Amino acid sequence: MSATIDGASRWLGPGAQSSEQITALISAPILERLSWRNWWIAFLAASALTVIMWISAIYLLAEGIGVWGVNSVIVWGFAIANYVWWIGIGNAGTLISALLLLTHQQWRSSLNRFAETMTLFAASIAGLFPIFHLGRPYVLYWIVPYPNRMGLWPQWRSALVWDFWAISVYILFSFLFWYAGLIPDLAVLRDRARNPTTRRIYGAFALGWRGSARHWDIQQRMYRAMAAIAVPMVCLVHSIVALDFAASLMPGWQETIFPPYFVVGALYSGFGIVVILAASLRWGFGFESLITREHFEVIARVLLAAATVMGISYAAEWFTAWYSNDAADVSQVIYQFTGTYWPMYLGQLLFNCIIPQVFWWPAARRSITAVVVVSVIINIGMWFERILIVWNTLGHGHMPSAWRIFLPTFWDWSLLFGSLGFFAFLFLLFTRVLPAVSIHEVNLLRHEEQKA
Amino acid sequence: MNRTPAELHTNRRRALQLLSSSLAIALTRCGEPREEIVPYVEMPERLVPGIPVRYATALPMAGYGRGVLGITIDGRPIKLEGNPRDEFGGGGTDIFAESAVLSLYDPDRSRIPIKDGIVASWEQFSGEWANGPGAGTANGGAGMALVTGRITSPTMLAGITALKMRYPELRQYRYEAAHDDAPRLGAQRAFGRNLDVIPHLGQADVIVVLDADPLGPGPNFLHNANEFSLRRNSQQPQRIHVAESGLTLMGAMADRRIAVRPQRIAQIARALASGFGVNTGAPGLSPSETAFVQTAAADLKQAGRGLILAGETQSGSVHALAHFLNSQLHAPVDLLNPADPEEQNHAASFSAFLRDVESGQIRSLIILDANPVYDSADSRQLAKAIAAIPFSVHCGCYANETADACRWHLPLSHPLESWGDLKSPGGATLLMQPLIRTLYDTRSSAELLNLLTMAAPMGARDLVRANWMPSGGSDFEQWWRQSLTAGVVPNSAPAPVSATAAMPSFETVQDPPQGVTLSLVPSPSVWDGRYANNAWLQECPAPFTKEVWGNAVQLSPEDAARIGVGFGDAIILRRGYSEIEAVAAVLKGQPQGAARAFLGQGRWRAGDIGNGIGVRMTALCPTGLERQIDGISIRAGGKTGLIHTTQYHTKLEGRDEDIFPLAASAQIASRLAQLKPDTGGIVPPLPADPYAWAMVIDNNLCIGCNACVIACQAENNVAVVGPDEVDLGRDMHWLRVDVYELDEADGLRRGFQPVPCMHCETAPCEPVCPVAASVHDHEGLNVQVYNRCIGTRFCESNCPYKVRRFNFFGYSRGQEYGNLGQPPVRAQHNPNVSVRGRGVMEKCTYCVQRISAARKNAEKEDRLIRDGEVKPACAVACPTHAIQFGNRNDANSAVAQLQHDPRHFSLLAHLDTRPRTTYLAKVWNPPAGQTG
Amino acid sequence: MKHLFAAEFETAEELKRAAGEAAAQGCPATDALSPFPVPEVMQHLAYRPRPVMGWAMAIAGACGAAIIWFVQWFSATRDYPIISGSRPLDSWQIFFIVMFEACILCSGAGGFITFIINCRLPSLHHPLFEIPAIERASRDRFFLVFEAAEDLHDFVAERITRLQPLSLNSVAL
Repeated sequence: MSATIDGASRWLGPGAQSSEQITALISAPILERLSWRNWWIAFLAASALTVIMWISAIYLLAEGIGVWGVNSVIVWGFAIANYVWWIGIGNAGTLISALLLLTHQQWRSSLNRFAETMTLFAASIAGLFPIFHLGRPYVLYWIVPYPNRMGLWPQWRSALVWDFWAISVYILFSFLFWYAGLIPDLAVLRDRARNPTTRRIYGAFALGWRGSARHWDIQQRMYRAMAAIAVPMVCLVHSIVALDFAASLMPGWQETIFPPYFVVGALYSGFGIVVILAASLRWGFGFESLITREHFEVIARVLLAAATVMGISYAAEWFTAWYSNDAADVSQVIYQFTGTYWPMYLGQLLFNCIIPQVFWWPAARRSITAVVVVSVIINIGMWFERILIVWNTLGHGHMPSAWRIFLPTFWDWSLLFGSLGFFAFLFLLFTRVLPAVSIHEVNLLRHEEQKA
Repeated sequence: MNRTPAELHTNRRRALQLLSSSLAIALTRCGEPREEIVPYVEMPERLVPGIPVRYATALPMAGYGRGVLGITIDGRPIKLEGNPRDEFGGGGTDIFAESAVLSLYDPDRSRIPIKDGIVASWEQFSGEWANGPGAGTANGGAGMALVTGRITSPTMLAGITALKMRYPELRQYRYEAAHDDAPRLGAQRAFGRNLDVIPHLGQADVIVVLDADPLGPGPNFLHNANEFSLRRNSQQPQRIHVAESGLTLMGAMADRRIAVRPQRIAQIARALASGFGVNTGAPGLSPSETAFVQTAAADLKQAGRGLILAGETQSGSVHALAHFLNSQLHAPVDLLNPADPEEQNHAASFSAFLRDVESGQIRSLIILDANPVYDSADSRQLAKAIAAIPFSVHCGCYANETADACRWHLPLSHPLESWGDLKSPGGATLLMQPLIRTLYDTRSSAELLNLLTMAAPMGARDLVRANWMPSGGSDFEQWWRQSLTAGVVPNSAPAPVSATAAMPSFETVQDPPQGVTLSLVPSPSVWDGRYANNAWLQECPAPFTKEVWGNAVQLSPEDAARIGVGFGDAIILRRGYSEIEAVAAVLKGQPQGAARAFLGQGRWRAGDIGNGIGVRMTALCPTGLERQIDGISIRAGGKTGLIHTTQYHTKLEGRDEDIFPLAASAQIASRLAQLKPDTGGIVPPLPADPYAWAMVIDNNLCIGCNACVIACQAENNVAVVGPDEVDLGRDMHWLRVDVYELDEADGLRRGFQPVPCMHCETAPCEPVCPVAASVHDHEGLNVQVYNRCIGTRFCESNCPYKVRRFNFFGYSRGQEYGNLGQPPVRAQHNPNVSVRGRGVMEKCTYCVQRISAARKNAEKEDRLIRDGEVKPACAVACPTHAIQFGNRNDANSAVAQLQHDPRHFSLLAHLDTRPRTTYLAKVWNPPAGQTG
Repeated sequence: MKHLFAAEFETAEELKRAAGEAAAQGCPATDALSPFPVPEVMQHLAYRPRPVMGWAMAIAGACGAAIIWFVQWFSATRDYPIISGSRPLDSWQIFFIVMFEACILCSGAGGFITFIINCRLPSLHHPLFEIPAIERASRDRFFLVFEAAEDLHDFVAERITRLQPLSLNSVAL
């Protein structure tokens, strides 16, 4: 472990050395009437992209899937890649919150709230894409098992049915987990707000939380138990997403490595986004004392580890292909390196495996800019990985006569970038109505650190 | 009704009113013809709604006839099949016959007479004709000209004779854009007169093909394909040597093939002849050519019966030589007195027409179902000349380029709407009976001639009957019904004549000139352009390039490299002062210095579908009918080219074991024995059932003619998506014909493989469907439940064969291509097959509607469905009988037998999908003294 | 007529000490309010938690799993048996996946509901909220809550003052 900064407090800066300081700092964006010029600029930009996303979606629903670049052979396109990418981002929130809680990692306290929120938003956006991607979205509910006059049921062997369950369970569960952790902070806001209406609203959502010892006791038990099942759930969700591909017989998909490697990949891109959000909160709301360099330093270590695992996974794919000695598999790997999309594939390897290796150098880990830049790069690389999984395998399958390429259209891009804007839109709103950092947990952290 | 010209001064509004009303009439009039028509089998006591009835009739192909059976439901023809009673054709169909039913409902067909671009009426025309040129009997109709295509119809010929009797001075010009002048010249030289030479491919032990394509599109296609298939899999292997100047379907089937410039063919022919005691003077041959000639000659010598076939792009002397060699070899060819009685050759007749039009000798011009303005090299000039003629009338199904130039346009009935008769190239006479009342106010050609002769007005039926009265014998009615039932006039096929071919004389062989030689061949999709407005045909992939919606110029890789263009790049072809912009299709197996392009595209008045597709290659010709043009200079450039193709990759990538095994006939059995599929998977077999539907496709018989593709399209309401969607890779054909490059040698051969749904027993598409829209039925069909499908497309992404098709748009519901959404087109839809809407997956169903129809009948009679009782559209259409379908559980069924063939294999067997559609491997027969 | 006393303390340590002393004096606090969990205080309170959470979640999860398993088995083998890629109708291995998801969802929901019920939430009105100072309990102050019957009022008040709280407020129930 690198030497801790300014003695006692490793995870909290000088600006967060008393309850009052912490509470004021965190609730300021919500309760104080300050000028949030930067916030407004960001919000307008995000709103613009959001509008683009929904125009794109409406046009899609009106005209049909044909407005995208998908074709008879590469029948999946951006929608599926975006879906996997977003759900991957969603992964980190719950994992950070739950896993670090179970492993008593103190540095979780200042990250878990907005990380969980990120999970909620990302997972919900991810859930939109499979719906948009349907040929007949208006009969989506046929996937749900319910008694109906047609006497029909879902086909349980389909990975898409598993998907449906995975995503819905993921979103609902994450919401409960998130809300359970939020209640005490809502109480804080209730007690702190001067405007009676605000008081009432927060009061209502705080459900009359009094911070009584018995409340704490029960809440903590529940929170721990939920965390304990959240971890396997998160892993399962991403294994199921992986099964969308692995439970097939297409070259490059049918691989047992897929589930674990999707989980790691998801964690990877998720942490990347956490870094970006942490940096913007730190910068935008002056949370330097809550989110310290140390946090970035630790995350950088996680990213480094993940990058290495990703590299190994890719290598495992190549090995399996060579070892299987299956013409289609071998040709698939060769196609990845030499085929139509080889620049993207090399980019994927560079962005996901090579560049993050800079984190071997402490200097890089301690430079917030460096960590943010690498995180952005990683997320681009991860999107490449997802789209290439779709393009390369479908476009270069078992029958050479059916080898095709994918030509993205404007509507592919508009939905992708629009969804980014929509995420920013939701997150910016969140920062103004709910505490982006968990007040009571940071308070506890301060308490423990000062005890130490 | 008699109207004075004053009333007929129609303004635009009036015109629109008339057009719309005519459309309305058309749609309400859809139904049984007024006169009695006779079904193919036996007349049901009454027409049951929704039950298909078959009628025998005939379709013209370049003037010749081919017998077809029209399937009509509730008085609507919805599908055509081959007529087995037409022995010459052998019961199969080609894409032109299959697609005729779409042309019948083409919204762009002309519906009403037009004068100077304004709606007119038949009465008005006959009035003007009677007072105008028609009155000119005094001068014997001097300056009157009639332009037609090839005419074999006895009734039509009689009509023309009558017309000539009334107007002795009438000049008739007859030409086909895709003509057969070279064979005619050859016959004239060899036999001293015109003779139709009909080869019997099946009876030849060795076939040497000199730049000919007997398996290519054309009037003889069905005959040749059928004969070819009869011999192909027999015990006595047949060996095929092909020397050609471009890729042809025959060349793809060759056991030995070399690609040479067209001019070399003459040399090769001579060298071959010199092997048979003909003193031709030893021409210089390249080593590969010599090797080819030696093996071919050796093969011919030791073979029982040899056959030499010369191509239409070759000179008359090559044909004469071929005729001579054939007579030496006692080749299996029939010599027939020509079905087309016209003495003059096409090119001569056409240039005579051009000359006379230019010189203004023609005062009144009648163009009957021909399109000279498009066919002639200098269309603009010819159009101007025709426009200068005082009285000009164009009669045709479409108001085409020529109609534009003429003052009058008279709408002809579609063959499926009219009575008539035609001669097949084999000489037998076929009868045409209408399957439907004329949709619009049209006349058949026979009626039209009758109208021009100003004889007593007669219906086409009466004209045909009148013409056949003498041959009918005592009980004419009985004869008539019998002939209509069969669609063929009993024993009307002529006996072959015997003639000996004289030793031909040789003109001095000139060396290949500078520049590239361009061969113009009829298009495998739109023939000479007359089918250009048929969407099915435009979207029918060309055999080798898999190009649709266009006619790219096929270049050899060497030439392409020299010019610096790749597949699909824009090029400019230049001859003298004429230049055209085209697209390059680089093809292995195309000889260096020789390019090849298809006729028939680049139309500008074909209709909504055919306008502006591809390039009019004949613009490079001196007159328009030349089929081989020397000294073409090609360079890169022109508007950015785009080639629309449906198959991007034609190499096997070393997967031939899994996909397209090939071996010499001797080795194939041992070859395939090694790769028998291991079906020891953990998945249990399907539950037992009396039926296990299966299909066996013989790669060895598939000649890549696409008849099955179009047949499937017609039967199953498969949508046309148009060029832009094809570029996005969204063609909807349920059945595709894959083409593969088989050997990297210079004489590159190709293999064709039709790929419908495999109906896998362990179908990968089924477990991945979240709503069980893709499921198995108890008879082993992999069925797609359209109205349950929510469009996740998981099934197609998991289909190793990629045979499923998705409605990315409402291709047949609301978002149709071009004019295909208009009411008349819907009339073609098969009511027993649901029309798929946007957002659902679809695919080959083994024509399940036919299976259930057969099951109904079988259950009525309380028995099982017999073998051969159910035939999917593709199997019925296939002219080489390469597709067999039946119940695998019935040990005696054809498929069950074929599955024990040593050549039997499954596609991607190692995936253990247990496909119900399986294949027979392609084999080739090494020439004498060689092994694989 | 009962009374609630709320004794205010500066820090968590103070709270623990006071709670301990109160218990030692034989008049343990009934509850403690703190801005963050102070588990050590629990042992001194007159309140013993019942460990129901784990059981509740386990049972809820088991029920959810059982139900969805039945739905899968019934629909796939009894109500809508249909051949899909020749797979066995009862593809039980595959049923585990959705079963596990349902299990997690139900146990999570079960846990949350147990939490709500056991904490007697939502309770938007509580006598303690009458005390103005109490609002700092969510921020930086710690309170011990005592309950006293009418007759014991002064006795308890006296005992509490021995704990030297910053302030002492009482509210009548």
